[in-house]
Amino acid sequence: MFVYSLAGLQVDGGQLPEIELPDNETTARTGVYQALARLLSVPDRDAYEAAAAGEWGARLAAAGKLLGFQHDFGNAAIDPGIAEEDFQAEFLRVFEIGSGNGPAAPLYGGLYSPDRMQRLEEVVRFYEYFGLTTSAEDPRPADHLATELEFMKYLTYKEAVSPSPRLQSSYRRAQHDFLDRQLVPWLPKLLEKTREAATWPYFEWVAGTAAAFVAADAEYAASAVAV
Amino acid sequence: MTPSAPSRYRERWTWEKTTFATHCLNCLATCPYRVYSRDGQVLFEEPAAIFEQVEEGVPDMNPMACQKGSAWSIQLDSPDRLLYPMRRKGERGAGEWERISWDEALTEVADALIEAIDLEGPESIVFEETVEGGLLTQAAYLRFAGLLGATTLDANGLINDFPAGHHITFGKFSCASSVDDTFHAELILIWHSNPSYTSIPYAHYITEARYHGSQVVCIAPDYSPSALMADTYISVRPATDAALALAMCRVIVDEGLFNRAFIQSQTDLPLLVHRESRRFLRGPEVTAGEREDQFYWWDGTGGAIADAPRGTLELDGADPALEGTYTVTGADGSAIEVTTVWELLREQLADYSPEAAGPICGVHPDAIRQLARDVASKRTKIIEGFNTPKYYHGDLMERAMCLLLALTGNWGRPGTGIQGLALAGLDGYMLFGMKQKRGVAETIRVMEGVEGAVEALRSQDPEASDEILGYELLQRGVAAGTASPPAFFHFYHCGYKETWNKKEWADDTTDRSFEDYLSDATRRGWWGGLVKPGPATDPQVLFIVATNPVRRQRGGSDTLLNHLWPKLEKVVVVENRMSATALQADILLPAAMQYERPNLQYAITHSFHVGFSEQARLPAGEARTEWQIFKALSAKVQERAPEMGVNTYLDGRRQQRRLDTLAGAFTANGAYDNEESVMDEWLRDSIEAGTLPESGSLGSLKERGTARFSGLGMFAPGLSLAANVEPDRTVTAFEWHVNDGVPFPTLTRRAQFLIDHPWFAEAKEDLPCHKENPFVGGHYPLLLTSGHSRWTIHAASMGNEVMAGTHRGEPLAILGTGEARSRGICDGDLVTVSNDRGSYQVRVRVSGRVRPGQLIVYNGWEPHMFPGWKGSNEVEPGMVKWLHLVSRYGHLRYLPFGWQPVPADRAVFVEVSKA
Repeated sequence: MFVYSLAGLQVDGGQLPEIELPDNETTARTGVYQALARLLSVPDRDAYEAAAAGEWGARLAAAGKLLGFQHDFGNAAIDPGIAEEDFQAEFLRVFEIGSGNGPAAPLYGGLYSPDRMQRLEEVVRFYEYFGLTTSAEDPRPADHLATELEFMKYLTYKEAVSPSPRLQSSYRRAQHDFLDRQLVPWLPKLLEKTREAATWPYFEWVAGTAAAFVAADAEYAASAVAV
Repeated sequence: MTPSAPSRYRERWTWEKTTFATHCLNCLATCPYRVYSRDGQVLFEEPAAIFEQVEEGVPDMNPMACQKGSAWSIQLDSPDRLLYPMRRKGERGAGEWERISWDEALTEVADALIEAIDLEGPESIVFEETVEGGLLTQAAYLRFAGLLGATTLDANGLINDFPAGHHITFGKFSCASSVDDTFHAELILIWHSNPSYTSIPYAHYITEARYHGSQVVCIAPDYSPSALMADTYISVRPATDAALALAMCRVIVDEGLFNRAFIQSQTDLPLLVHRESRRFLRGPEVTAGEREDQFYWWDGTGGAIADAPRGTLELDGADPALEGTYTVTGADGSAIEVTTVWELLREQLADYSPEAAGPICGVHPDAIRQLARDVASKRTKIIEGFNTPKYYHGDLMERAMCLLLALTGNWGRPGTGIQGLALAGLDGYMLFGMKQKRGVAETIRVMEGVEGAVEALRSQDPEASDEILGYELLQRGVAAGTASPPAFFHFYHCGYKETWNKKEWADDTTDRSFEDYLSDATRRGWWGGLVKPGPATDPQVLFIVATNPVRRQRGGSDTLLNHLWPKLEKVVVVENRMSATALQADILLPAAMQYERPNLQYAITHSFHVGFSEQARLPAGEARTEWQIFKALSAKVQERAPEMGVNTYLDGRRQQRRLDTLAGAFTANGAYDNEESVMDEWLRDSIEAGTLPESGSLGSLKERGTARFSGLGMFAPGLSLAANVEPDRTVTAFEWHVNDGVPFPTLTRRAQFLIDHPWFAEAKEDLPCHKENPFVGGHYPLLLTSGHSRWTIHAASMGNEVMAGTHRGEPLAILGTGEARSRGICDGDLVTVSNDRGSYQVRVRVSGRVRPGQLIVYNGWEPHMFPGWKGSNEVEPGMVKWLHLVSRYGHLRYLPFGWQPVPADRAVFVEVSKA
């Protein structure tokens, strides 16, 4: 069972109904993308506790139990002695704010392309074409990794709930296109910069997990489109 | 320190960014260019050469460019650019202007629009449609006009690129394969076209095919520039091409060279007709209650009458007789004497032996026979272009050419067919007008709605193909649209009545006048709901966007300026340069040019790739894109409407329209705020509809510059190509008809050579025939022919100084040596070209390549380039063939950009004398 929610994005002109979804290959991807989006968001108490307890790997594996492809998420944990504030501060230093010259490994995809404005326009149009706008209440930039992962979550969710086979196929094709054009190209660079950021192994695992799953899912989506 | 010459040179070729562009002009070539810019200015452009090879062994399309496109950037800041909104100060056309703000301009236009709606209704607001400017230009004014319920004059009825003969034969005019398919031809007939001038980007395929072993024949009155590409040149007397084609058909029939199986399956030639009346034998005559559009043949296998299948062209073991007369029993038990269309055709061809036709068309009988045999034995493609539609009897020429191809099995296979124009399916553009809001869910809703409508139509006619149903759907859409065939507008409002009624300038087969036929057609309701604004409604506001009617109006600029202009309260011209039409405006709104805007070009089959443009620099001065102009005008109309007391009104169809929500309706409440958001939607929707691959997205086009279409889509204009689209094969039109037996969208579901409409019988044109060109313009010794020049697409590059440096830089008539000598005319002389319609003056080039009795004036020159500002259209009456007023007969009914009465502007008779 999976009850839908959105973070960073909102449905253009309406609410999404909370629908109970069947567990299957598609909703497994929805679940993984939801977990990854949380993993790549500024951590709250729950995220901290899961990191301290080394639960994130299991959470991802549980969400992806029915994935249509084999994927090992691995696992990592932070030192249980690290305080929640310090954990959050390290996340912000590495991914969000940095010190002086910006974050060591920014989570904004546009910063990995030659023209961020163009990339922002492109992802916003992507969202809008599929019925979403960025959330007024949670105004993350449209090219934030968590937002893009939320969008993947949304596309897989829509594939799962759409009554029309044509719509399902549209959402599947959109997943392939979005992964191929927006996520796959820059996540390896994020991982590389995270490694250079002299941070904890946990955050290297976070970046690596996102990059590895997106790459594997992109292959899966490509084969699904080809079918 | 002054930079050295080498460093200045290097500086000249140093840029900051490159963008992709194509030139959205009415050459429709979709050539991809790279535009190089620095400091916000365009430095230069060059062919991008980004097309990938499609089929192994067939040359790629690169560089796909011409000298006009390669020098376009010169024009961006040329002296004739329109930079600011302007209002006429003096008399119309006096050239006195005052610069005004955008707000002032839009307010004045908005007030005129609201007044027109209040006074005469929205149909009194008239837009001249055009295919210049690309899809973003079209979409802007068509959306605005659609929201108002205004009138949009069908572009093909204005410019006449409509090959009526193709439509009569195939039920569609879209039959052009991709240009690389030319390479597969074994015999190429350059006929009624001049590709080395007019198709520079892809004329190389003719040469490459020739290197590959193809035979190339150029058929033209003059030794045209394209004759240089040919193995054989056949000099034909102007406007007698039907006689030449029919003589070849006669040879093919007489010598038994025809392809019987192809004729049996693809054409109406085996269908049974009444021996005396020449009308098809129809369903109810044979079986009570049968469909009116059920036709019959005599099946040689069973030796009996049989239904000609409506759902397939495949014979399935049948052997329909071509020859013979038969007696069939009618539904009422009577005996009906019938024969076949083939037999009627053979009788018709009796008049066209090479010996009889030779003196008509000026071709030796031996040459006719040899060419006929070559066509019959080789995969033959006719490179036709858009010249035939501009002849009074161009339809007869086209029908005769189609007959030649039919007899020899020359369509539907690689390297065959007739090459005019075909539209590809950018379905996102088609879907755009149907969507209420943006997004994929809406797209799917609309697509499923369209499919539902198609299926509902299919339930009424289960044997109809998707293409036929697509046309049915389009037909129904016309009723709710703004389009109007302009012949009626011209007749009622532009002073053509007297001209078109001149019997001596028209077909002399009957005694009735044009007006008589027009009244008859109108009375029968053949064009019901399409005559807009009607004779009782004076047009109030004329919008001219990216087109130039004062230059090209068939019938001369006087028809517009003396007859239409005085009726108009406001003439609004949206242009990027001071054209002949802009000179006659009340309000001038400056438009962005190529390279200053994102755009998509019309999707056509020549390259079968998307023509894509990015913005390389900001528009000059205060120029805006058409999307921004009409968006702002929508807002201004909405703002002014309450003050002027017109918030809602009923349009000509009694449908309520609203001005108080116009701005939001135009942008779909902000969803389509700018060009990129519109393009993005079209491209995504085209991917959804399957006409573009994923690499056709906006982001991908910005990286790659183009994408090849991946399918024909779901709408009739694309489906009419009837071709399989595969990634590694050239696109060959009509494959579905030949390989899969998919029927044609004609009355008989076959390529139709007999039109058994009473008016066609009255005109003695029920079958293809040759008719002499009427003495259009009067009895004068020279026949004036034309065509596109080498140096400009219409008038678009006429002011380009680089282009002007490649020719004499002024209008030019080309006259044969003998004709010049007999009139005492020397090269470079100024002459007067005149007939009973009018006159103008022009310099002469004397050339031995022009046929005696012919005068050539390539088109595109602006009137103000001639003395007295009288251009070459002054001697063109723009006659309309009354027969094309036929409607509500099978496939002969109005379709946007398709079947309608169209004006002829070529083959008029003139005299020249030294000025």
